[in-house]
Amino acid sequence: MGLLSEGTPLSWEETKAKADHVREHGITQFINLWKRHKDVKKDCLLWGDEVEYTLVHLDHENEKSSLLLKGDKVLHVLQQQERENPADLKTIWRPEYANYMVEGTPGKPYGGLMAYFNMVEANMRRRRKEVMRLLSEPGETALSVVTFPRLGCPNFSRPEFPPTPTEGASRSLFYPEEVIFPGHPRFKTLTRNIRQRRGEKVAINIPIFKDKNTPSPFQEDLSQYGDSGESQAASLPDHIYLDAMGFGMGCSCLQMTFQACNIDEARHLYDQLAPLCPIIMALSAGSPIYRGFLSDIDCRWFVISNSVDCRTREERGLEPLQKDRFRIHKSRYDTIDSYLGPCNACYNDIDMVYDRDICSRLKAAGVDELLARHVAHLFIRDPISLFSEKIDQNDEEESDHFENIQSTNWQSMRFKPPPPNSDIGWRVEFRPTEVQLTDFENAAYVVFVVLLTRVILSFHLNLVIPISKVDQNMKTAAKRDALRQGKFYFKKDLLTGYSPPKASECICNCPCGNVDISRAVDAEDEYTEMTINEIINGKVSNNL
Amino acid sequence: MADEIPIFPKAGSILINTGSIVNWNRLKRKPNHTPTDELKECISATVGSWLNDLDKTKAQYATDLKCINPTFSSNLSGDDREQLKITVKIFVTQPDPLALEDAIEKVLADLDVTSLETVLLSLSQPDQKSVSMDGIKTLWEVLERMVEKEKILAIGISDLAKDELEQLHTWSTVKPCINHVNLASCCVMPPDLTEYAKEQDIQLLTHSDPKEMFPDKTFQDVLCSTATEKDSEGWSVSWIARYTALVKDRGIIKAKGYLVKAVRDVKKGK
Repeated sequence: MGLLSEGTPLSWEETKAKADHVREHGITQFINLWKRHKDVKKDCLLWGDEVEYTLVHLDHENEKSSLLLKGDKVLHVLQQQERENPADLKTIWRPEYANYMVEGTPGKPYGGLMAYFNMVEANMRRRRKEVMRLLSEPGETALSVVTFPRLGCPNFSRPEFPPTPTEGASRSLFYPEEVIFPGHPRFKTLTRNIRQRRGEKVAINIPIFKDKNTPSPFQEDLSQYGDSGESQAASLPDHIYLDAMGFGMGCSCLQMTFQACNIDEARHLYDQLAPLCPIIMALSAGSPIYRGFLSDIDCRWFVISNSVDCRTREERGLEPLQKDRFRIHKSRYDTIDSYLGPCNACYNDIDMVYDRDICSRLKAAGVDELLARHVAHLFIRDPISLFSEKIDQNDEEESDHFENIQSTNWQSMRFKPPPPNSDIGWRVEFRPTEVQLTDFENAAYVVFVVLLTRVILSFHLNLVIPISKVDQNMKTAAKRDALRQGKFYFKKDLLTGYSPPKASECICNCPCGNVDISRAVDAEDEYTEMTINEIINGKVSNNL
Repeated sequence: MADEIPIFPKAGSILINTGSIVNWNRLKRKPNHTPTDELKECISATVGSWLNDLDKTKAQYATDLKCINPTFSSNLSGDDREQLKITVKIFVTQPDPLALEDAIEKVLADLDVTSLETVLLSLSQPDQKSVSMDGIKTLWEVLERMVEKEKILAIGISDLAKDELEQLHTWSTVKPCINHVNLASCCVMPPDLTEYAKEQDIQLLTHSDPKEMFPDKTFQDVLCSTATEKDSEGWSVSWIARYTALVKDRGIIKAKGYLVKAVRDVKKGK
């Protein structure tokens, strides 16, 4: 997960005080990166995947399983090779939010030849083996599973720790401090700052699955966990209540990143993959159980979304705007709000909140309207962690302030500018896939998505539909059995290698740089509702 | 239809170049095409469009026909040739070295390049029970000469089992770098084959080309429906070449197309 700068984290108040500083320099850093790399023409395809593993302890004798809090110990050994022999790495390891998680990626990115697709599963197998080798105590194992079903249940970890509802970063009724990765201050800092910024604990209410014996309404008495009444008020009947960042960021996913040949291709791929986010998520669904209860959802997306929702009551629209600047419609972890390619401006039919001043500043520097709005949208957020050593930067050579905001906007797709001082180009990250239990399945999803990008580019396919429909699809995709029962908006005809007539009207009247959002196209005849099966396997129709 | 006047009664050879089909929308609409279906579509469309622009008077006397589809160029020369990896699979049904040589030269000419990265040979004699290793060797020598002349960089073979592959590998001067295997015939690669290939550094790649890529009858049917019945009589396919140009660094298909050569004895037709 993101940025791991060294050092001493500031308190929330100190961080908030520096918010404008971070934003201002972050934009300068983006402008510098953009200027330096906007004309790079011929980058090659490089790509990679990230798999998150969950360390588990199985006590067969007592038929008990628990989350093994050994991430820091295991990582220390796993990262040895990186310290000792950085030139010839086959695998790279990073910490994740919880101390029962480790994240592995291939040592070197894969390249443009088809042969690389054969390497993915082998490298994943190698990664799993490396972790397993370090789990030598009886009962210890590693799983690539989206959620641990009893995360947050009493004594779910090993060692066991009691939750601390009145102190610590989370203040959770269920999630002890010690579960958060202790090896770097970032994760606890984020947890505390999100809670303090929001002004209250995060509240995640997941619809419960109504089984035969589920009481109606289903409502837990949270006082049994030490609740003073705050949580009870935040919990909803017929929902599973969770109250910590750890419930979201302690979920595991499968991510793919690829480098495009230039900025335009990156923007194009970002757009083309966006409509696929809900589809792939529904296909890969694997997280129906939370805090020991069967839920009515199959995917983790909105759990994570709510678990890091730092919006204040004003921003959420519960109180009139006084201290805060914007009414914000989404958590900083959620789906994207706009397409980036100029020919897709007409499909941006969501009222996207963005910082007008930042947008103007970017445009003055030469950035086009769409990209300027995108960055200005990311930058409505405050930084939620800041390290004292990183406050003053050389904006020409460092980009920590930009990355600070960029990496704490956790969206379904991420558009990644080249880092300073490196050969790396413009990249796109695909983030919604739920991790699978086996290396074979994980490799299949990774290869499928990357291959799909090659097909989209080779055959000039166009999957873009109004972005509001993609958002609706995401809600549908998270539901129980969306895979078989869900209906998703999807483009009827993928073959227009050229913009459809309405879109080209839009372009003629507002050339790149003059996008008028009120001209969002009514593209109803371009898309229709389909099941996942029809989208993936085709729809038998009378007219071809 | 049988009474229709033939358009090219004197034609004894026909060379069809589909041009790059990568942007053919009509093909993309049929995702479950077999390679034969795809080729049929392509030939039909190319011949059809060629007939539209044809000078019908001249065609009456033409002996060698060249059908190209000018909209979809197959020209791969240009600034980015270096970045392309061109793979050509040549399908023949007879071990005729002249036909193979003709195929390679025609591909080089039509793509306007001086060399091809990989050429895969498929010799399919459906009426024969077992693979004719002699036939393959005759053809392989053609490929080896081409490699010597630097017209081809690497050569491969199709559908050989382990023993046959070993024979070819041992006997040949220029070793096969690829064995193109039909995945339908073996869902899982035979372990002896994978082991041998690993030892000898031969890539095992898969395909879904049928044993009979394009029977003569199918070719004649296509000509019959696009031209006339008389125009379709007597043809037999000499060779089929399928080329793909991949942009190496980006994994994107830049071009894909077919060249097909067919011949007939016109005197017989009368």
